[in-house]
Amino acid sequence: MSPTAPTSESSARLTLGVSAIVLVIIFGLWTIDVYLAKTERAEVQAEASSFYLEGTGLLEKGQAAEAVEVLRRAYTAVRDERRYQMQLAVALIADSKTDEAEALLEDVLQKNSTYGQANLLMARLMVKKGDLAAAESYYHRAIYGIWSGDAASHQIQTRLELIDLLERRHASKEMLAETLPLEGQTEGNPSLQKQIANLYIVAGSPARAISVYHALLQGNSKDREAYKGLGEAELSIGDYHQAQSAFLNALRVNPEDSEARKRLELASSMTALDPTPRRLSSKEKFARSMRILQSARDAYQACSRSGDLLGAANAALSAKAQPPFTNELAEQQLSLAEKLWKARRASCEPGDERLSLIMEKLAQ
Amino acid sequence: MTQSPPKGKFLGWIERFRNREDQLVILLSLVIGVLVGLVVVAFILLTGRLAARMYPPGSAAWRRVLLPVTGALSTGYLLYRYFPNARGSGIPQTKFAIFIDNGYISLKTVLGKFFLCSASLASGIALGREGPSVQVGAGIASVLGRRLGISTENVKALLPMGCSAALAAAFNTPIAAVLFSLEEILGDMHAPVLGSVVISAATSWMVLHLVLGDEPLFHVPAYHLVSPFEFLIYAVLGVVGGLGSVCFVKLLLKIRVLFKKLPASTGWLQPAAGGLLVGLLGWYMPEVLGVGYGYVDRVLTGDFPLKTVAILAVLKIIATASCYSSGNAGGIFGPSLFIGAMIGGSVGSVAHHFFPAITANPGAYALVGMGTAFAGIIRTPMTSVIMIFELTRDYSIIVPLMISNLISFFISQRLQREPIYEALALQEGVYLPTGESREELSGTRVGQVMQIRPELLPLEMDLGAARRRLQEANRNAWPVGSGERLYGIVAARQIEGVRDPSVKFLRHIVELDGKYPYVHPDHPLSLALERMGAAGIDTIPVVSRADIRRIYGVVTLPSVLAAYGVTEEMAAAGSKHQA
Repeated sequence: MSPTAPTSESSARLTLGVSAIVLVIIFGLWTIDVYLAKTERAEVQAEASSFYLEGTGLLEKGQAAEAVEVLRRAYTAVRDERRYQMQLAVALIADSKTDEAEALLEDVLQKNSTYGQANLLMARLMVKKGDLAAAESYYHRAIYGIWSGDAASHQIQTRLELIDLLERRHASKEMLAETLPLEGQTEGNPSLQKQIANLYIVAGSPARAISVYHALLQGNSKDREAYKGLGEAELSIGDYHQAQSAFLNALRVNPEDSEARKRLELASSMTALDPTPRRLSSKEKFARSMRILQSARDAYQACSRSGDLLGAANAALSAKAQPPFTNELAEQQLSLAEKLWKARRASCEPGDERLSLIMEKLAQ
Repeated sequence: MTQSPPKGKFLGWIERFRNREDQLVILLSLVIGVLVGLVVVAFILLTGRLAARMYPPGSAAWRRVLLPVTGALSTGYLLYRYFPNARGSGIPQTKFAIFIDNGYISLKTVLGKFFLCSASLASGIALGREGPSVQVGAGIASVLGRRLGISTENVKALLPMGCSAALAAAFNTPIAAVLFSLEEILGDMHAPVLGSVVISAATSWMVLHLVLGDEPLFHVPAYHLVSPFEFLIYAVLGVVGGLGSVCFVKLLLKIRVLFKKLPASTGWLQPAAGGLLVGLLGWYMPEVLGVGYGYVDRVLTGDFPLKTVAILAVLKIIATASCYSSGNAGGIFGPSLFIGAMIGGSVGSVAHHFFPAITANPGAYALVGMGTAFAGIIRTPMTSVIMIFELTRDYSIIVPLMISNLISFFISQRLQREPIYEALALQEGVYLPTGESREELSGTRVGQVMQIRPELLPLEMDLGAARRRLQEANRNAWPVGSGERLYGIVAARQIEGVRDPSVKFLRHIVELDGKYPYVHPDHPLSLALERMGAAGIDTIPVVSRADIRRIYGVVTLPSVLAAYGVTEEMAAAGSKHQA
C-alpha cells in the first residue's frame, strides 16, 4: 500500500465527519428556529389580542385618540389579522386621522377590492371628507361586496346607511331606488319592513308605504306601530279619512298612546280643513279655502311683511264675502294661498304642519 | 508513486468529490446559505424577543437608562477580554479577512459576535444587526471551508457567499444582498463567485421564508407619484439626505478618534459611555433605543409628526455615532436606514404641509429617504436602489429613488472622501483596496515579481557605506529599516546632495514620517512602475495592507521590465533611440 493512502482516506473521513456535524448543526438550528418562531408568534398574537380588546374598549368609551395608539400596536404586531386593521381604521376615522385611515383602507382594498367592511369604512371616510359621490360608490361596493358572517344583514345595514346619506342629500329618486330592493330582502322582519315603509314616505312614495303597512297588518292586526305608520302614509297621500281610521285603530290597540292621539287630532282637523272632497258644498269649500288662505297669509307674514302677494291676500280676506260661493272663487283663494306658501318657503322654516300637508296635497 | 484509492466506494466517491474543489464550492454555497439563513433567523428572533423582554410596553423610564449602560458594560468587558474581533459592525472586519487574513475568521469571533451583539442590541444600544450578520455569515463560511481543508483561495471565495446569505436573510432582500457583497465587500461586480453568491443568497432567503413566513421587514404602503413636481422634492431630499449622511459619518469618525486616544486599558469601559448616552437619549425619546425598525414602519405610514421625525433623525445620528465609536457590538447598516427614514419623513412632512395637493404622504418620502441615507453613508448606490425596490416591489419608485440616491451619493463623495468602511479601516491603520484600485487589480501582481525579505539598510549606516551599497547593487534607492520593519527609503540623489559635514548617517536624511512610496502585494505591476516613476526611484518597497511599516519585499525596475518581457538593455536602447 502506498504511504499516501491513509492520508487520502483520512481526508475523506474528515470530510464525512464535517458533513455529519454540519447536518447535525443544521437540524439543531432548524429545531431552535422553529421553536423560537412559534413561541414568538404565540406571544405576539396574545399581546396583539390584548391590545385589540383594550383598544376596542377605549373606542367604545369614545376615547378615539387613545384607542388609535393601542390598536396600532395590535395591528403592528399582527399585520395579517384583518380585524385589527379594520378596528384601527374605525378608530382613525373617529379620531379624524382621515389620511392615515384612507391609506390603511386603500391597502386592504388593493389586496381585496370586494371586501365589504373595508368598502363600508371607506364610504364613511369619504362622507367625513365630504366626497359624497365617492362615498356612494364605496357604499355600492360594500353592498355588493363580500362579508364574513351574516352577509345579508350587513348588506341591509349598509344600504340603510346609504339611504340615510341620500336622504340628507335630498336625493329622493336615488333613495327610492335603494329602498325598493330592501323590501324583498327584509320580508319576515316587521321591524325592518316598518323602517322601509317609512323610507318610502320620505322618498315620496307613500302609496308603496301603505301597501307595506297593509301587508304587515294582515300578519298582525294588533301592530300599533304599523297603524300609526299607515296613518302617516295616508296623511302624506292626502287621504285624511283613512289616516283618521288608522290612528283610531292604533288607539284601540293602546288607548294610552298619546302620540297616536295627537296624530288622530291632526288627521281630524285635516279632514275638517281639506277643501278637495267632492261631496263638499261650494259654500263649505269656499269657507275652507278662506281658512287656508288666512293661514298661508299668517305664515307668510311671520317672515315677510311686504309684497304684492301679501296685499292681494289681505284684500281677499278683508273683502266681505257675497254669495254665490262658487267653486271657482274657492279655487282662486286656494291658488293665492299656494303662491303665498311657495313664496314663503324660500325664506322661512316650515311652520304649521296642517298647512304644510294641505299645500302638499293641493300641489299633487 | 501512485496514490491508491481509499477503502470503500462511498469514501472513494467523497474523496473524488472533495478533490474537485470547484464543484465542492458550489455545494458549499448551498450549505452556507442554509446554515447562515438559520443562524440569522435565530439572531433576528433572539434580538427581537430579548428586546421585548427588556422593554415591555409601559415599562419604567429608568430601565431605558440602566439597561443600555448595563448591556454595554457587560458586553464591553467580554469584547475587551475575550472577543476583540467581535467589536463594531463586522463589515470592515469581513473585508480585512478577505483582503488581509486569507479568509480567516475564527469560530470564537463568530460566537462572540452572535451572542454579544444579541445582548447589546437587546439592551437598547442604537446599532443594527445586519453588519454583524454579515460577519457571522462570512465567519461560518470561513470556518466551514477551513474545517473541510479546502484551499485558501477557495476559503476566501466562500466569504462573499456567507455575506450575501446573511444579508438576504437579515434584510429579506436577496438581490440587494448579492449586489452588496459584490459592490461593497468584494468591490467587483464581475467577480467569478457571482453564481455561488446568488445561490447562497437565494437559499438563505428561502430558509427565512420557511421559518418566518412571508412577513416583510418593513410594511410599505402603496407608492404613488402624485405629480412630476415631486421629482424636485426628491432632489431636495437627496441634498438633505446627503448632508445628513456626511454629518453622521464625520461625527462617527471624529468621536472614534477621541475614543482611540484614550488609554487602551479603558477599552472595556468605553462602550458604557455610548450606552449611557443612548440611555439618556432614550429617557427623553424611547424610539432612539435599539434597532428601531418598528418606528421606521410607523414613519413609512406617515404616522409621526414632523417635530418627532426631525428630532429622531438628529438623536439617532448622535446615538449611533457614539455607540459605534465607543466600541459596542453592532452595525450602522440598520441605523442608516432609520436615519434616512426620519430625514425623508421630515422632508416629506414639510413638502406635504406646503403643497398637499401635489405631494404624496410623508411615508413615501421616508421610504425614498431610507435609500438616500444608505447611498450617502454606505456609498453603495446600486445596492440602495435595488434594496428599496425589493422592499416596495413597486417599479414606479425607481426614478425618484435614483434621483435622490445619486444626489446624496454625489454630495457624500464630495464632502467625505473615504467611504465609511474604508475610513474606519484607515483609522485602524489598514489600507483596504479602494474602488479604483480594485479595478487595477488585474494582470501580473507585485507579489508575483517582488524580491522577498531584502536586506534593509540600517538607520545607523554611514552615508559613504550606503552610497557604496547602492552602487554595488546598481540601484538608485533602497529601503531603510531593520528586520521586517521599514522606516523609509533612501535615494542616491539624497546622499549626493548632502553638503553638511555633520550629516553622516542615514537617520539624518531618511524621512521617518511614513510618507514614502510603496505598493502592496496585490497591486498590479503597472502601479509599481507608475509610483517608481513619480518618485524618481528604481526600487520600491512592498508592504502589508494591515501595516505599511511591515515590509514583505522590494520590486525593482529590472524585475518589472523582465515581467513585461523587456530587458534593461532593450529599455536603454529604446531610450537612446527616442533621444
